[in-house]
Amino acid sequence: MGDKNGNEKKEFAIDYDNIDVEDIMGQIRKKIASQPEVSEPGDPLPVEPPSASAPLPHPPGSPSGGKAKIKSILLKIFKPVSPVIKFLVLPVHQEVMDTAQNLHATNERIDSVERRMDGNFNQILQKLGEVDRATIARLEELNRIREYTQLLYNISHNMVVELTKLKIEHENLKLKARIMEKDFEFLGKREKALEGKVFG
Amino acid sequence: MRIAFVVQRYGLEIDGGAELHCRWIAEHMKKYCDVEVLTTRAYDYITWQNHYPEGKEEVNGISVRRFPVIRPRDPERFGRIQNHILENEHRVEDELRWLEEEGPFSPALIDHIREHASDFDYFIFFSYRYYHSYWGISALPHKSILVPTAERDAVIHLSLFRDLFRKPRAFVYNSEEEKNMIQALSQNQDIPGDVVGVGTEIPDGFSPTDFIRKYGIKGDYVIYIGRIDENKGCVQLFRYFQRFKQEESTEVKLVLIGNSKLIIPDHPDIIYLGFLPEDDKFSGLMGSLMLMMPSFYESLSMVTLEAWAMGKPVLANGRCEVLKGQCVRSHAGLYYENYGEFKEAFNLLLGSERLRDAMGTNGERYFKNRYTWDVIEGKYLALFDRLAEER
Repeated sequence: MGDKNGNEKKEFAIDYDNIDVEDIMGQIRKKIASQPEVSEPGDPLPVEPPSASAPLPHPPGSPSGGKAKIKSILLKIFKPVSPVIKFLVLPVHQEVMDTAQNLHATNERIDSVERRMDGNFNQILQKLGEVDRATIARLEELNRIREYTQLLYNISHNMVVELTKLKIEHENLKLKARIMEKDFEFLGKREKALEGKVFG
Repeated sequence: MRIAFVVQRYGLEIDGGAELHCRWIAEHMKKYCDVEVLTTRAYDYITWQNHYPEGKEEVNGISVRRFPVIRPRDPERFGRIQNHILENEHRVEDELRWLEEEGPFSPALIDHIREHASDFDYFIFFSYRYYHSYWGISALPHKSILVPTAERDAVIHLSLFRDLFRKPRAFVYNSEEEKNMIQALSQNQDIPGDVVGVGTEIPDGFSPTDFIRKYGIKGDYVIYIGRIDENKGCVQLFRYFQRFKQEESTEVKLVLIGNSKLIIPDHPDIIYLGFLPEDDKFSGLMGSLMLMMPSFYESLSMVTLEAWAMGKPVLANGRCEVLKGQCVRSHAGLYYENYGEFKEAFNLLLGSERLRDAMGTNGERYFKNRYTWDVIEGKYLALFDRLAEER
């Protein structure tokens, strides 16, 4: 059992020349406390949460400069025929490109929000983990109390059984004593009768 | 100096508890003073039926005076009264009735103490919870020394005992934990008291090799010595040990010595040897890797002290404050409060001979410094001197 040179598992730091039982027990408890975490599968990978102050990407603005101004004035003046003008003046390709850019910007905004949410989600997970651990500790405590209660119950039960047995035994002995008294009485009478016969 | 030891039962046949403690102390103090034991005629601790002859006799050179128990205990009635006072609001009168039922009800013993107060310098009462201690100390508080031998059980909280713990002239405690518990209950810090306990003697001529051969034990083993009882934590020990064997690959065996009140689990590595003579007990302890001490209630574990006297480490139940305190103070044993701690502590002790040796050495030192008879006798004498100075 064990190694004479003390080459046992180095899980615990022990000063053999100056043993400190409380320190060893502390290490044992620490090890036990760390065990459920080790066995828990799939801890979330650490994610760098985006800074809360980081601005969201802006949506691409409308076409800028004088070209945009002229375009909007012309569209206002010729509002009734604006679809035709739009169709004639603006190339469809440009319109498609703008829409694509808008969609891209929107996607970026959604991704950014999602990243932020992810950070919060990890925090929530962490908190849940803490609550979980506290609950486990509480459950262990409750289990201990339950074991203790069970023990007390068993002790009481055993005591009742023992007392009942003793009471029964006591009654039996009383009964036996009574029978023996009667036997004794009978023998006394018989003795007297025999004496009467022999000496009478 | 004349000392009277007052105890509920006394005799060579009584081989444990406060009664044996009292006998050993009386026999050792005989060297220094005139000693007389005042006790009852009872032998059976459940009914206190009169068993020994009344009057004076000599037991191992000690003068013993026995007084009759005028009403034996009716266990059923006593149980009923105890349940009532533990579970309901009650008056002091109810507690006194409980005390009378608990017994041993021997008013003649109390009368004798009162009438012969001047014959003795001190009356040393053993076991706080019985009739003789309460009424004896109440009769002569200024000459009384109480050895409470208290455990953390329900009756210690009765108001009766709070008052009792404030009466005697001095206390002799078994452990720091017992002292703290009684002081916390009764606020009696002003009454002198020392933690003394009781000594033990390790006989010569025991042989672990003979023990192993005689009982056919193969391989390494750990040992439990004492009454095999649920109160002593044995059921939990069996459960933990069996689970440990399932989970860990180890050949270690658990050897049990003592009278059993339980059904021992049918397991190839749990070996029950029954009640053994002292030589075999010590041989078994010497050959073991460590002592298992799973008890929940102890006021002073004598077998733990014996293990330390022999340089063996102990794995104790940490839910027993006394055992835990002794392990922490001696640095000679580990303790557990649940299976996880049991497994780790047991594994650590099994796996490291160096740790076992170091703890064994600490245990030997702890025993020599506190529990050899020279130390125990010295503490009693120092207490008498202190009381004489204060007088």
